[in-house]
Amino acid sequence: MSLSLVFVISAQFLLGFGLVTRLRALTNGFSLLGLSMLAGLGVSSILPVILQLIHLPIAPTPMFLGLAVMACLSLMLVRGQLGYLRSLFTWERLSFRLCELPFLVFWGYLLFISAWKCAWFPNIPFDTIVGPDLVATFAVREHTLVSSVFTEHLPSVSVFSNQPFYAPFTTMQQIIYLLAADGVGPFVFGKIWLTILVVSFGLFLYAELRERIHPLLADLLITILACSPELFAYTFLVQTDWANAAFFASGVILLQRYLESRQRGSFVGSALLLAIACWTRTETIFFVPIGSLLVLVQSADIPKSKALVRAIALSIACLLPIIFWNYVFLRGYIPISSTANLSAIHAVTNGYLTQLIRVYSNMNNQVVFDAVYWGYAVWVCLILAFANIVVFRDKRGLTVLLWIAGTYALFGLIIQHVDGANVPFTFRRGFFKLLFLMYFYLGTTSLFRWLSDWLYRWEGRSTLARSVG
Amino acid sequence: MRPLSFSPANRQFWIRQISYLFISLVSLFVIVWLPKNRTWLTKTVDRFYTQQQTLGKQTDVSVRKREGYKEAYVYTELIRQRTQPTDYFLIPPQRYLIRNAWQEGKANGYAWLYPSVLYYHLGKSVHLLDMTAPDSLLQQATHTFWVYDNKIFLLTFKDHNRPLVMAEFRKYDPHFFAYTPQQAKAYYKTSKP
Repeated sequence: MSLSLVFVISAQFLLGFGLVTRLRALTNGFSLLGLSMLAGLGVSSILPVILQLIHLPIAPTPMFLGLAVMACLSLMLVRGQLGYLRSLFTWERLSFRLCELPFLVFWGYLLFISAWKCAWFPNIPFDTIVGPDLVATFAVREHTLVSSVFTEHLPSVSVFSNQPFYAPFTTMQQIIYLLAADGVGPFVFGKIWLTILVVSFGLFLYAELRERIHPLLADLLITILACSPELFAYTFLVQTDWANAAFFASGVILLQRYLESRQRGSFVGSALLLAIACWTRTETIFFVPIGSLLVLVQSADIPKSKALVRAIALSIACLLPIIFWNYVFLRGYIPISSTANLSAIHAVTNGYLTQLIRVYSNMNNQVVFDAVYWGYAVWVCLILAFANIVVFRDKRGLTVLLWIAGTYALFGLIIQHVDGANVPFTFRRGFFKLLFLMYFYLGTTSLFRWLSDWLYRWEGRSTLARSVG
Repeated sequence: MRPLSFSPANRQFWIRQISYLFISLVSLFVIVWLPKNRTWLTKTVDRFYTQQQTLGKQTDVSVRKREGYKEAYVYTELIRQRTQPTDYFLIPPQRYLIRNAWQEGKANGYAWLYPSVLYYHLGKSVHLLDMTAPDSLLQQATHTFWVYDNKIFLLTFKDHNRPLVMAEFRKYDPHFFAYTPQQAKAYYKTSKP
């Protein structure tokens, strides 16, 4: 790995580390490490746009200097947080148990080959090479985001879709990592940020589950999830969906922490990650109102006006990247051809309900219950969720369940109304979001709490040692 | 960390840890042994490892591109080698290639003909011309792909072949594009150009 790549990864991590530490939203070191890298990847993706707006070239020196400045500024936020950090990185919180080792080896087996495929092969997906990687490659080659892709190529062709316009996060990460690779070496295609993102999110989700339920149960859940062929395939195929799902699920997990603890840092962290999720894929904004509604409804212990302000703040935070990218930057800065298709919403006049039912039916048949895509992950989750509801009949985890149901319902409406959104592509990859939430949900249920208590009792520990909420 | 002593409490602790290890090994074995997971691991993931053993030592970028892009790499390299930055490559209608050289392109449905795919690979090494360009611009075309005997050749435009090629290309809808091999196959199975 080249020195510049090590620098970029370290700078992105430190950038996230400062921010996440300051929020004091987390209660274990692994969560902090995973979320720091995720947040660093997300926040650093604004840097190429900043360079462009201040008329600096998209080149290694300004990019690396910019990253260094962002990381240093972020590290200043760590001042006064050493006590908090020390409490997160105690041996008790960082040690693995013997029973976790087989699972770690198995995940390593999957991750190794995923990382190799990601690094060795160039970008192959059609959407990527005519979208984010096309824009990134020419931005790096021509040292500007307003490259010949926008000024010469697109205006001269009749066939093109919205791929060059909809994926700022993937484009910007490709730019940063292409600059770091400098056209040579094993990471020449830039894509390795995807592997870093997958490992970071995996670590974060695992640590969050491990904190709520017994590590053995968390291992089992993550392993069933890891055996989803489609989810695995997109750990080495650069697209927008894995990153979007990771940011979205992290935002929901932090919002769940906020709803359980009322801790302000969790709320701010959640808003940041959901905003990055919107920066990754525009349609995410349609799911944000679920979070705002939950903030409003679940805040009985704080004044209504304060709850309303927070709900609005969450929506505004997520709207900002959408407005900036789609209306300020693309329409105001990039010379887009008049024939460009930036997605539009259409009305359905005839047979609205019949058509909508058909959409949901296709979503279920072609995606949700297709075992080739998800292995046993969906059925295992549904059976366990059903068992939990029937046996325990309580509200624990209900908010996560509402996220899942709301996201699923809104996906149907998006497919019904948004041009270009469809079941085989949009929902198939959009389902990653739901899958992550489904497995996080299991970690919040009474069933898993009961199983964990039982395991801990057998082990000789009377209660869940590090439970939240 | 728990000290390694032989007190009863410690022995109890390690017995439980080893019991957990046993349970985790059995559970992992069960998950991996489930039919769908087993098929995926032994076919797909194992194939990836075989691929890694075969290709892993190759570090040359062009080898990696050829392996990844397949036909797109072959054809775009052909254009790159035979043309100059001042030349104009006319992108033939996708339907023309599907109709006349189906066997060569059925695996990908000629998705590599998509203008942005060609631009991604070729950049400014040649000017790309779309069939929807005005006639005055189309007259500047210096190269295109032409099918002869079901095979694709890079054709250099000459005065004598230009009318014939343009007349043939104009039989096909230049706005049509099949993004997937399935869409291309659906078109191939119909009789109209």
